Amino acid sequence: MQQLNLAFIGSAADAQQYGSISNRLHGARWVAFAPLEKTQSSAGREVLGGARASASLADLLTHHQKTVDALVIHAPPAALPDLVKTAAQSDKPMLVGPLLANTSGALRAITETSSQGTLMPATPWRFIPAIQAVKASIDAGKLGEIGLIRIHRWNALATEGTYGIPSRIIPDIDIATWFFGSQPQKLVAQQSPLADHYIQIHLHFENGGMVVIDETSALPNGGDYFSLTVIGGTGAAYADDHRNMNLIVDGVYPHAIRTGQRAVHLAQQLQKFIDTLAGTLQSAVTTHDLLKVLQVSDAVVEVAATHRVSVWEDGNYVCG
Amino acid sequence: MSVADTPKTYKALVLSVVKHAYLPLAVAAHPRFELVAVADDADNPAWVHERNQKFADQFSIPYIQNVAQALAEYDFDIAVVSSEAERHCDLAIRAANAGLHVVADKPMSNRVSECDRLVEAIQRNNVKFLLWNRNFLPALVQAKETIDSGAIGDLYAIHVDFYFSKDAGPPKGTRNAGDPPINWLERQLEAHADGSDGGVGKEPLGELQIEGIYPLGYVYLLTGATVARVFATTATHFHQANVDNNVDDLAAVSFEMESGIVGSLCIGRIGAASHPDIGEIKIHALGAKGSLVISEARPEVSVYYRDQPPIEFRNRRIANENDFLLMDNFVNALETGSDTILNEKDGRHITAVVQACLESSKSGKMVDVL
Repeated sequence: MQQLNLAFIGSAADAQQYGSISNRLHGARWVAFAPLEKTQSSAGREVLGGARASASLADLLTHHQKTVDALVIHAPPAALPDLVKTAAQSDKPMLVGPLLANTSGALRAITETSSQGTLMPATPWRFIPAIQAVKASIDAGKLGEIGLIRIHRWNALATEGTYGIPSRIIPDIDIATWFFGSQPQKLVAQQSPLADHYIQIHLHFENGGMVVIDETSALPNGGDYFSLTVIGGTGAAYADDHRNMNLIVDGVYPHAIRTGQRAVHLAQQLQKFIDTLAGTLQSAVTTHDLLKVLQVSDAVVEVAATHRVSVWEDGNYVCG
Repeated sequence: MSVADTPKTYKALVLSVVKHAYLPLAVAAHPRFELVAVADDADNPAWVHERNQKFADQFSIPYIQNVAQALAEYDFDIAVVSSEAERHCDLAIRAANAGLHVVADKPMSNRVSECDRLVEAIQRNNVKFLLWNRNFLPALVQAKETIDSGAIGDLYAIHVDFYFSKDAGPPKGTRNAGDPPINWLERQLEAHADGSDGGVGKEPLGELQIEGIYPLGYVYLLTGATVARVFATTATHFHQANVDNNVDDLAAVSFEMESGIVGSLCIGRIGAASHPDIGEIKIHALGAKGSLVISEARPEVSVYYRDQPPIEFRNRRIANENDFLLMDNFVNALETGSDTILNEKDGRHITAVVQACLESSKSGKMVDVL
């Protein structure tokens, strides 16, 4: 079986996570690594199974262009435009994340520098086992027509990978619109004057479907919590951390701990990217898909500050 | 114990008992209350009289088809109103004007104007009013105690999910071409057999109107604040009766409170297939110091056995003293002058919130709660 040669561009810590799933990949292997910071090249090389380390992405493309088939870029949103621009010069297919852009304007700027056919935006949240299980039930028709999606997502104050409200709400807007398979026709959003790290979102779809999301990034003590309910015409699905907690009893109160799921979602996403390149799958997510999500996110941020309703008209959201 | 030490037993008049009879049964079950008679207006249809008579016979008390006569002939302390929603306020007002304290089933009314009349009557007659609710369920008591203790700090957001996994007649889309639409009252009368007739009456009621009192009661209990503005979306997603009568069976509400707290409510009668028990009912509260996730069903036990009927809940709620504690709360209000846990003003506010939600769902705009 022919192996696809992958290069990873990201931090040493993220390289460690991607390295941990190396032995689960079918038809691909890591062959090169470029850190976001030059000092980390050796650390990344070690965790990626001896992949050849370069000082930077440009250096990697200069020296290993012929041996690399595809790029996996994992970096903060602010660093991605330059990385994608550099990578695009190689014309290699690339999986870019964890979030390619956090506004529609930023995404348009990025895609101007890259052929969309070679750029797959990462959506790791779609590959979380619970999300996959619920989506499979929807696709199998078990739940009937979706009427309501409810998401509670609470992050800790200093959760890594959160870069402001757009980045925090985009995954759940994507999940909701992915499940509904359409664009919301109307939306409102609210922020509490008592907590500027908090936002709640209310989407309304053409078929009467509705979505309510609340998101905070200020839970104390490093904890986080996620709950998803999907109510369909013939069934419902509940993916809920509350149900997936085990207990430690070591003091006055028992402590709840969530059962670990490791990096299953990253392995699933990467395999899908590999299979897409191998021609056995159509691209799971396109930049066009992400653009539609970012249009919703842009509108949410706008109305959260104005207490108005935004309506989808002629391809744009317009505040009423 | 001397006679002087014996606590007073309050004599109760049941003013109509046409739904599932949980409310008058709860009153009868409390040792400080005694059901004395059932009364209703004579011009009601036969099914109303049949149900009133049946309940009266169950307790071996008279059924009087004349409310004024019952009030004149007996010495009551309280009235227990459990009629169709559209008659709740009228019956309660007549009781209050006769000097009786009132316990009324939910919803308080389907009209804010009726609630206004009732609030005026309760206050003018200086009597107490309790709107039936679930605020004394064990999980709610725990949530209230936890928040009041300051464990999660001052609240800034609260969310209630309230999904009843009950059916309500034929599923949406099952009416054949040419068949007449489902008559709301006839459907509700059929539903009496399985206790899912919470919307009984001539006027169709959506899920927000029938059950919205419960989650909105939770919000009021836990925040102590009133809702200022709402944005709501509603749908008829499950049941043909709701489609035919143009009333919601699924709704989502985003709200802002006077105190600055924001929140949401998702509610629906989502069908029996959608949950193994009565439904998924949860409260999510966010505070400055932490957060709280409460399952309304807890505590519960799980019981499974061979040949278990499919409609029997596998998880059963236990330690539920809601009925007793509500009536104890009412006794306390009668004897100390304190407010009930959900009084006439609270009930009026909740009705106004529901009305604002329905307006918002029609207009597609945010609506102020008046």
